[in-house]
Amino acid sequence: MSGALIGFAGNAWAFRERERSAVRPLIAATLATALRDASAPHVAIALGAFPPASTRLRATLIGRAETAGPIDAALFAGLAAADGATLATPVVCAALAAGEAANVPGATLLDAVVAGVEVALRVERALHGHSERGWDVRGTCGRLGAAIAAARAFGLQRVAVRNAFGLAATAAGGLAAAQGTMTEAYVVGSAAADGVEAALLARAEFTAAPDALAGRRGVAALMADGLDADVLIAGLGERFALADLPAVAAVPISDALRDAVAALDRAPTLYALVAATRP
Amino acid sequence: MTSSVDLRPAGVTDALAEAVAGFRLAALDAAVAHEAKRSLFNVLAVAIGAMRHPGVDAILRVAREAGGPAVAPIVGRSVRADAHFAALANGFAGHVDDYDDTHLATVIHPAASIAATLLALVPLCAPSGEDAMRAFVLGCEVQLRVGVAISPEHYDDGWHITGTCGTIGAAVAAAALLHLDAEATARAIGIAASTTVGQREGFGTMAKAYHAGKAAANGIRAASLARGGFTAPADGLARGFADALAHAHRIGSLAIAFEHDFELAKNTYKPYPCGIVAHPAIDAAVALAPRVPRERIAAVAVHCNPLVPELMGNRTPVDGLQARFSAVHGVTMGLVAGTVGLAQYADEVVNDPLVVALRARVALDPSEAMPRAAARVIVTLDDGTIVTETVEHARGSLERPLTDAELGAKAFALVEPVLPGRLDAVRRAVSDLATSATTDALVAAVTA
Repeated sequence: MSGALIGFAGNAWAFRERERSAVRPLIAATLATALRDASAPHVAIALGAFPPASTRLRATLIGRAETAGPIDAALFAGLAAADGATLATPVVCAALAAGEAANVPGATLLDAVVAGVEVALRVERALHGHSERGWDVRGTCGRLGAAIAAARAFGLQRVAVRNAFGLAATAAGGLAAAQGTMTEAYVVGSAAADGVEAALLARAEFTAAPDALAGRRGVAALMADGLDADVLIAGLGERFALADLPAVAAVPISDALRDAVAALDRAPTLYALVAATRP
Repeated sequence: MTSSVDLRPAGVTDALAEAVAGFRLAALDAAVAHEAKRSLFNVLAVAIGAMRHPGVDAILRVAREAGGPAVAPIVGRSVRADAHFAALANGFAGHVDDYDDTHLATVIHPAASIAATLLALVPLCAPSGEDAMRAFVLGCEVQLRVGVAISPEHYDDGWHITGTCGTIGAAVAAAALLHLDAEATARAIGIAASTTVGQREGFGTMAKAYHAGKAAANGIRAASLARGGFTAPADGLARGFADALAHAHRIGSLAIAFEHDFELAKNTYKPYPCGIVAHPAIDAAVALAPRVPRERIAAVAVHCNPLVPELMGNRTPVDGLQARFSAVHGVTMGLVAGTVGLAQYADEVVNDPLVVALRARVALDPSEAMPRAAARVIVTLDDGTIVTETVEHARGSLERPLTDAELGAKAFALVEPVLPGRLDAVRRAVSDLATSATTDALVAAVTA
């Protein structure tokens, strides 16, 4: 069953304007939140614990001048964007960190977010009784979406996409009990970071379970009461769950960020978008 | 679910963290201290033996792309990596050959994630040898105790307990190396509980050993955040963790005091590099080898516990990783090679047409009447002769533990091809660790 989902997520088709238009507000709101909270206490603690390092692949830390490796950049983005985060938040953070590190054009970022959010949403809706068991869907479904988005940003082929998805699945976690503490933000940040890590490891030919979602000892079996196959895969690529996403929380968005997001389809690089996330 | 009735005493995590912070290595019972040394020695040898695995290459490739300053040692290699990737690589190497230690009551392989945590933090913490051994003991013991409190439900539900409980143990080991007080240690546990890793669906792929490395990396992250003042839910183990990870559990009666009843004292070491439930049958096959000419084997029946086909039921493995979950492969190799080590799990051996043909003649015959520790192998030769061997307790079990000499022989076979002439240095560094001023000798002994 994971196969159909991977097939959808791993093909390199460009998505249509209808789907891209649904994710632009998510990208803008996520980055605006991260920019606003880039110096929040929990982010400052993480920066002290994991000082940004000079790396071969690099991505900019939102709201700061430094760069770091894309895994750490995704972690900091997720930590900073955690206020009001949805399961789309780790997806956007992973897509941006991986996309900048891979130097992708704006359209690739949009499509990575479309694929990642669609997978995260479908998994969340298909799992029965999942959050009732105490899981934070941003750390579970969001992690899967983050891996898909990062895999697309790095241009992985089908088997590698499947392995990235499998690695993120086996690291799926995050407890609802952490809500209200800084660990809640870490659930979002680690989901974004693990999505990037999974994609990089899969690119290096690391392997994971082929049916990590629906397999006998996989996500659905361990973390939910059941999995609705129809909700998961029916109409993939035709009907989009992200089309009826609720409106994102209102957060002030700078003109530069709004313009950069609006221009993503035609942007040859993510330079303008990244520039709009600097302080 | 037990979560619906909240009868748990408040603060089991705090009580555990208090005990962790107050634990003195000098007070440790000599037998437990000896088992800790055996655990560390075994896992380092196993990790050295696995240093050429493609999964280690993959992790180190990503480390070069995305990692920070390469300061932490990688077992069996001369290159280094940052703490995160060193934790991933060393934890992976310690577990990938399925040759590491096993706490049989929980099926936790505790040492890989904790040794990886220790090595990753050596550059940052510069621990004394005593600090290092203390952290190793605490990391192993805490994950085993947490495992006991959620066993057997947790593993039966499908979780890879080595990764899930390993994350908690690694957070405790990292907290010890960072000299966190009890309050911060409790927060480290609470943070780690939100990044546990490991589903059994990944068995037979690199994901399984990734669990041990990722547990170490996540434990280090949790303790590092806790050190900086990061906040976490109160009583992280009792609130959320146990309910989400096991359909029933006894986390409220988690063993706290580090005085006696150490679970680490019950650690065992695998004589064969594959899933442990098949070891009794492999023992029987090895014993039969001198009596069974391979060209005359007509049929082999393996009377075994139902867990053997459940966990090791792959009849047609196509590589060494899959063969580790194939009881019929292990039994076949025992019968034809008379020994079952890493060589018997090489991809080319797994795909040897003679081996493939013989594997097809081995049948698993599971029965609830056969205890987990036991097996009977019945070989029918081409002239109808029947040869039988029964094993009551596998070599390497608690009832028949590997002797120090057997453990040394196992370690020699692993270390010698990778770091020739180094085994004595590894043994001495582990043996002397608790009284050494630094971990320098240990790091020098295990790296190229």
